[in-house]
Amino acid sequence: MATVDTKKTKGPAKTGPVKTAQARANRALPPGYARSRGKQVQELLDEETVEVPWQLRHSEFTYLGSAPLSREHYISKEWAEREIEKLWSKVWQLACFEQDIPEIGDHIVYDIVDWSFIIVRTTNNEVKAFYNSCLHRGRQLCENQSESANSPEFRCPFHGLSWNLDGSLKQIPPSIEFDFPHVDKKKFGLPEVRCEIWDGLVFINIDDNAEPLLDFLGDITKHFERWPFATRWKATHTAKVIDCNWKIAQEAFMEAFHVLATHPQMSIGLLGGDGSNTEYNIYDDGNANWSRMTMAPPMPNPNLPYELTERELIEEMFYRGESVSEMGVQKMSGSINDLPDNITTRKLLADAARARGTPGFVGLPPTDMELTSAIQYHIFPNISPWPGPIFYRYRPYGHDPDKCIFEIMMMVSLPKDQPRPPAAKIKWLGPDEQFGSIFNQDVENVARVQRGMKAAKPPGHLTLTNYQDIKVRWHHRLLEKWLNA
Amino acid sequence: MNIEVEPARITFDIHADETIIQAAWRNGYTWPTICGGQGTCKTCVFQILEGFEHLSPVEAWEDTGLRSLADSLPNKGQGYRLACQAKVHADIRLRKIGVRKQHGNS
Ligand code: FES
Ligand code: FES
Ligand SMILES: [Fe+2]
Repeated sequence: MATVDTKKTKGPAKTGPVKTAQARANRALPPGYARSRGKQVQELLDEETVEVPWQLRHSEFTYLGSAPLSREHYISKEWAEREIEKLWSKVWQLACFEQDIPEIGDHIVYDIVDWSFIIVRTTNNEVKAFYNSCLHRGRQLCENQSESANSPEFRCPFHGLSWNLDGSLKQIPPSIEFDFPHVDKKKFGLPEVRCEIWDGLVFINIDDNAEPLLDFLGDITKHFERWPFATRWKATHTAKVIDCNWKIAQEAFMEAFHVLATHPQMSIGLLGGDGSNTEYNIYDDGNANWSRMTMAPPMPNPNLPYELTERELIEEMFYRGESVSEMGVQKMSGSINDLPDNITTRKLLADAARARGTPGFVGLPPTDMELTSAIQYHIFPNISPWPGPIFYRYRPYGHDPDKCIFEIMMMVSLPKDQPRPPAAKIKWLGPDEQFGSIFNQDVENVARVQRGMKAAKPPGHLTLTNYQDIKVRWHHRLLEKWLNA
Repeated sequence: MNIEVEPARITFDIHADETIIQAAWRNGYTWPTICGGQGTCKTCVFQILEGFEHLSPVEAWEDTGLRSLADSLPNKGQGYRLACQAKVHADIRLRKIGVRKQHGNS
C-alpha cells in the first residue's frame, strides 16, 4: 500500500475568502493605507448600542514610509551607550506609582542604567526624588527597589550621616562632626532630580531643562480622563530580566499580527482572530510622544483561510468553560441554545463583563469595545498603559543591549466606594519562572529575535510592514530624533 | 473506518494511509489550516473524544508542534493531536470547530 507523504500533499481546495472588493480597493490605495479584510475597529464602533466616547474615535494614522530599519538599534553597544547619554539622561520616565508610597516617609528606589533615585512622599501632597548616593563617600542610601519602605529620615548605613525626607541635611553624627568644618550644612542637601506626577504616575527626569511632564505627554492625558489611574489599584507587579534589547521586548506588544503564528491557540477558536484587524494609531504625524493600538474584539476573522462562525466561537467558549483573550481568562457558563440567534461573541463577553460590575470609567457607560478588546497605548519611550487592567514597563538592563527588564502590572479599576488595598510590591521572576501562558510565547520569541538579528547577513536590515508595524516605526523615529539631537 | 467530528456532527471515512486532514479534504470538507498540512501552523489541532488508542503514535515532528501548544491548551494539551499528522487504524470521535463542507465546485 502506498503511503502518503503529508509534507508533499497539496493543500485543500481554496475555500478561504475570495479576493474581495476590499482587496481590489486596497490595490488602489497609496502605500500604508491598505487594510485587512473584515470589519475595522471604527466600523465595529458604529455598531455600539451606547454612545462611543470621543477617545475611541480619535484614530489618527500617518504613513511613515517603508524604509528598512537598522538592526544596530537593538544589538550595538555603541547605540545602547548613545541611548544612555541622549535618551535616558533626558527623557521623562515612570519611576513608580503614587500608591506605592501612600504615607509620609514612604519611599522606593527607581534604577535606570547606572542611575538610582529615591522617590519619597514628603507631605500628603508632595513627592520628591533624590539621587540615591550619600554625599560623604557615595554609598547608596536606600536599596528597596521592589517595595516601599517607611522611615523618618535617610541615614547612610556607612558612617551615619542623615538627611530629612525633604532632602535637607539632618545630622552629621556629633562624634564625627568636628571633622567636617568645611561643610556648609545649609548647602549639604541631597541633590534632587525632576519629579512630576500625572494621574497617580510618578515620573522623573534627569534633565533639569526638560519641558514639563504634562507638555511632554500631550493629549494622552485627555484620553485617560476616561480611564484614570489615580483611583486604580496596582494589584500585581511582576518583573523579569529577559534576554533581549528593551525595545524588542516592547515591540512584542506594539503589533498584534504576530498572534497568527505566535499564539495559534487564539486563531483556532478562542479569540477567533489572528490580530490582523487591529487598528494602529500614531498622532500628530508621528510626532506625539504616545501611540495606540486597538485589537478587534473576539469575532470570526475573515482574513483566516478558514471560516469560523460566531456560533462556533461561542460554542467553543462554553465547551471550555472559559474565554481566553488578551483581556485575560474569563469563566463562561451557559448554553448557546439559551442565546438569541444573532448573538455575537463580543456582545456576550461585553455583557458578561457588565454583569461582573462596571469598571470605574468616567462619563459615558462602557462600550463593548472597551470591555472586550485590548486597547493598548504606549508612551515614549518605555511604558504601555491600557484602559484595561494591563500596564507594561521596559527598561534596559545596565549597559547590556542584549538584556532588559520587563514588567507587567495589573492596574485594576475598582468599583466606586470599594476601598483600595495596598499596592503590590514587585515580584521578580527567576530565569526559569514564567509570566503565564500567552506571555510565555511572547517572551520565547523576543530572545530568539535578539539572537537572530545578530545572525543576519550584514547589513541585516529589517523589513517592516507599512501599517501594522507603524508603532515600531514611530518609536524608532522618535528615538533617532532624541539620539541625533 | 470513520472519523466523527463534533460539534458539527460530521462523519467521513478515512484510509489507513492518510492523515485526518487528507481524509477530510478527500471527502470535500475544509479543515482549519494555514500551512496546508506541513505541521508548522498548529491550526489543525483537535481534541480526541473517543478512540485514543486508535490513533497512530505521535512522531517527533508532530510532537514538536504539540509541545509548543501545550501551555495554551486545556489539560496541558493532553488528548490533542495535529490533524495533518495523525492517522488512525480504527474509528475515532473528535472535536474541532471550523470543519465544514467545502463551498462551490466539489
Ligand atoms: S516573520 Fe516576523 S520575525 Fe520572522
Ligand atoms: S495544518 Fe498546519 S500544522 Fe497541521
Ligand atoms: Fe503576543
